[in-house]
Amino acid sequence: MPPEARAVLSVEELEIRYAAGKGDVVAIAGTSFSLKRGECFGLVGESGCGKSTIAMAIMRCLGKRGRISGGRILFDGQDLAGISAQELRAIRGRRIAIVYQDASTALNPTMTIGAQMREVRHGENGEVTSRERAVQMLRAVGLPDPEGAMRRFPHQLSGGQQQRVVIAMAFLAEPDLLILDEPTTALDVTVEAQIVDLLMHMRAVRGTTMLFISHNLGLVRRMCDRVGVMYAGQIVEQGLTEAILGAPRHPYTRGLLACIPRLDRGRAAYRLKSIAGRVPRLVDLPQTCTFIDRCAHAQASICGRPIAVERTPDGSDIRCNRWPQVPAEEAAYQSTSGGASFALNAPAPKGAAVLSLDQVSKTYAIGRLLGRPIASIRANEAVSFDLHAGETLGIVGESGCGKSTLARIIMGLEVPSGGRITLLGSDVTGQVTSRRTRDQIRNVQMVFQNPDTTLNPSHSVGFILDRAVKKLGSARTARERQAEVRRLLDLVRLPHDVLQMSAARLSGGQKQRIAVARAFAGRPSLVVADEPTSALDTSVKTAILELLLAAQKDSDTALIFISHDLSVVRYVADRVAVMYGGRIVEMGEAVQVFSPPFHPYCEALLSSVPGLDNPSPARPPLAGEVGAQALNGQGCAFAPRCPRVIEGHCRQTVPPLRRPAAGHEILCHHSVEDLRGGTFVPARNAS
Amino acid sequence: MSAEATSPLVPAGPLAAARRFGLHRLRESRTLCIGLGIIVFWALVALLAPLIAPSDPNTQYMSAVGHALPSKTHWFGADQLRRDIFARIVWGARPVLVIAPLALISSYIIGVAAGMTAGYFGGWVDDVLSRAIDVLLSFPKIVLYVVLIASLGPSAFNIMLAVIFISSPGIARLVRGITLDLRTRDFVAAARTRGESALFIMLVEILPNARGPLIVDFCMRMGYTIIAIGVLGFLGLGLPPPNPDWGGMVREATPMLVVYPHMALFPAAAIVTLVMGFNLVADGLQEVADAS
Repeated sequence: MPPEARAVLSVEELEIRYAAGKGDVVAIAGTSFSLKRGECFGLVGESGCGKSTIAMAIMRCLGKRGRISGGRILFDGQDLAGISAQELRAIRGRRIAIVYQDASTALNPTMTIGAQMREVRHGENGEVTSRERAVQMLRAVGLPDPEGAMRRFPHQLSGGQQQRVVIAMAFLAEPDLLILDEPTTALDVTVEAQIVDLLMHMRAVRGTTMLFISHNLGLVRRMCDRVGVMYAGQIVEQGLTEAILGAPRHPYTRGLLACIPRLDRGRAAYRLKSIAGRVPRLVDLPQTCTFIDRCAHAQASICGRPIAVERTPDGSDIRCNRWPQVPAEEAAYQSTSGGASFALNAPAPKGAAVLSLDQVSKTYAIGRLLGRPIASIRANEAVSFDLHAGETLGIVGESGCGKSTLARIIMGLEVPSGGRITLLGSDVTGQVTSRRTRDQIRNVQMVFQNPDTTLNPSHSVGFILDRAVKKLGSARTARERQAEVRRLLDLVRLPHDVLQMSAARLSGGQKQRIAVARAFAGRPSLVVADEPTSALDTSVKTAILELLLAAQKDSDTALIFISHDLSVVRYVADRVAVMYGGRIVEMGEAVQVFSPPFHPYCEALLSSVPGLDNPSPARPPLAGEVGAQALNGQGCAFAPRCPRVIEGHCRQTVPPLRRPAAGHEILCHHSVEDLRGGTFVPARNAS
Repeated sequence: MSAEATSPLVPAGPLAAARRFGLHRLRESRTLCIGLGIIVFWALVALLAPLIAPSDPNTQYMSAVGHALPSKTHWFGADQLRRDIFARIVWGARPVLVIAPLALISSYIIGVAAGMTAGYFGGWVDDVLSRAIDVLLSFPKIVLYVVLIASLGPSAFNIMLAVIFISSPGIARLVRGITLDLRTRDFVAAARTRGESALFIMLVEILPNARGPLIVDFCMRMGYTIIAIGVLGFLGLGLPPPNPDWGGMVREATPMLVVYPHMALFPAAAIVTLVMGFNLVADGLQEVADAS
């Protein structure tokens, strides 16, 4: 066989088991796929489906408990399972390179970038990397000042730059296969777009074969030629990216796609559907369909037996006994359930604002000398908005834009440095939570980002909810409180027996449900949700979103929804504020913000999102990163990164507030007509 | 069906790991088992002293004159005053196992209170408390012990006071560090936005999550404290004679060490085993916490 046609990597009926207590856990149960030279293959699926296990198995890093219990991993015709440690060393890092999710832990903090780069060996005989070659590679991955970077330590680079270094190290070895394990998950959208751009460029130049592991279907669609969808240790559907993500047949793939919010339309036009249940843990090779418990199409007689892989007309492989019927059944189900005619939250009669911020700002002092700050950082500047009952305000922006500081100020966890905050008609400026009245505390509650720290792991769910009801609710007696706790559990659709469980034992999704229940314990007027879904899996995310919105509707609560994910904000928010450098740069109804005229930053954000409806970017990604430049308080904070910057003007003068329509505000020097000519059209591929 | 649904009872998070020091986990660490065995052994010896060694440990046996070495009647031999060493070791376990835990528990109450206050409030409160702790920790411990006992006079109560004075700063510093970390967790912010008092947050939200490292530290400190009590006895600052005191027994035996090493060996071995017991428990608990 000519070497070009032979697969670089061929995984055949791979089976991986982990020793766990008495028995084994099957992590991978009969998975096969292959990568031709120069191809990019994507592995997608929820966490716990075995994507990373496959990457680790290819690198032979399964740890003490893991073992390959069946099948083969052929790399260039050689079975990786059977080779010696010495042969393995010649392959690892040299012929197969890997890029992990977290660059900050992939790099050694005690060594300079240069020293680490020069450790990489390449070529047949494992030549040491020369300094020139390392610098050249750093330049190729677009690191600013590569000469200087060689002398720097990892902590002196930003997250995006660190990931560029890791990618540079991977390419230094000139590998035959590059494994990318969620390489952009820890990064901001604009930086993610830069890294994806870089990877596609490097692949075009060098023709490297890539295995791309991600839970982000949009990214996979942008990068991969073929894709395999993993579920419970098996690939349930694989084929050309267009076929799998464009016209999926497997109920799981269809479910995953139905969980992804769109950029081009809001909640009024469609509803997201979550997949109920969770990924099963296999103790033995599955004798039935693994998705059977969560599948709407499952029929015990057909799905309750071993499932063979079948070939569909468009050349995909599918592991489903009922695949020919699935799309038709789903269409029928949708037409009977009334389709997508959901009414938008009726615009509430605008009474007094629940919350109103007037020119709120927050400055942090950096270091103090004799009680005086040496320098200061502006986290928030002149932030103003009103929020009414039942309304949802989405706040978007990259990390470091000041959205979390704003949340903490509203909650009374921080005191603003300037401006006024009015809560339910009374001025609470400068009042931390402990100075607020019981009623004010009851009326403002928060849902936090990290499910693992939001609940006290030492407490039981019952104690947590009971305490919230006691402090926030109106129930007096123990019996009333108990009834109230049960109402809250019903609100977040959890069974009552979780009350006895320790919070540490819940899954991430369950923890976040309890967090939502806790926030709504006192039927608050305002809930601030700070990235409530960003640490969750796709299918769980959707369920939490729906829950949050249902709870909001139930008590006519105003909701501030903070997120870096534009499509999620598009889905939940009535109004949207886009923040950059501590300021709101654009604000308006969701429809207004997500269609022209755009603020240049908002436009850049929108074109960075690798949505399914936005597979290829309209323009090169935004350069630079948030916080790379000091905020001098004068001029537009976005000017250093703005592709439309007017030199000699934007950096010097504070931009004026433009009002293209009632309720729509853009903070920019460009005129509304100028901004209307934006290039990003979200609905390009839809409809 | 082979596809078993994942049970929701999956342990998660390092804090959760620290909380399950249940008895059923004993099997997971042999170190922990051995350590606990030694401690239980000494606790039983102290508790059952009147049954194990019914005679008064201060009785002087004329029969032992010229027969100081271990024998059938005096298993561990007799000391320079012809007292039975076995009985003195058995009875000597009592003061150690009362003074050390009582003193340490008191140190913990003071140390946890100071450390949590410093860590939770920060600012000038932290500055004042931390500097005070630094000053106390800057003295060599043994010098502090000697100075304190020499000025207060040797007695069980004064030894406890000295242990409290010398151990609490270290405990406070440990607790402060843990509190600094735990107070940034979202559940603390949630408690604050719920209007909980600082006391509630410290005692109910933060303290339970600190117990893992604190239990390990407690066991380590028990070892140090037992050594310190032994050293005080050896320096003649332990329990006043003729009370049986392990450290004091070693001290009294030193002049005759060359002729009768057993007089020092048995009390020294008693101290070593008890300290090792606590250290093994500390290691074992750490192992169990790391494993899960």
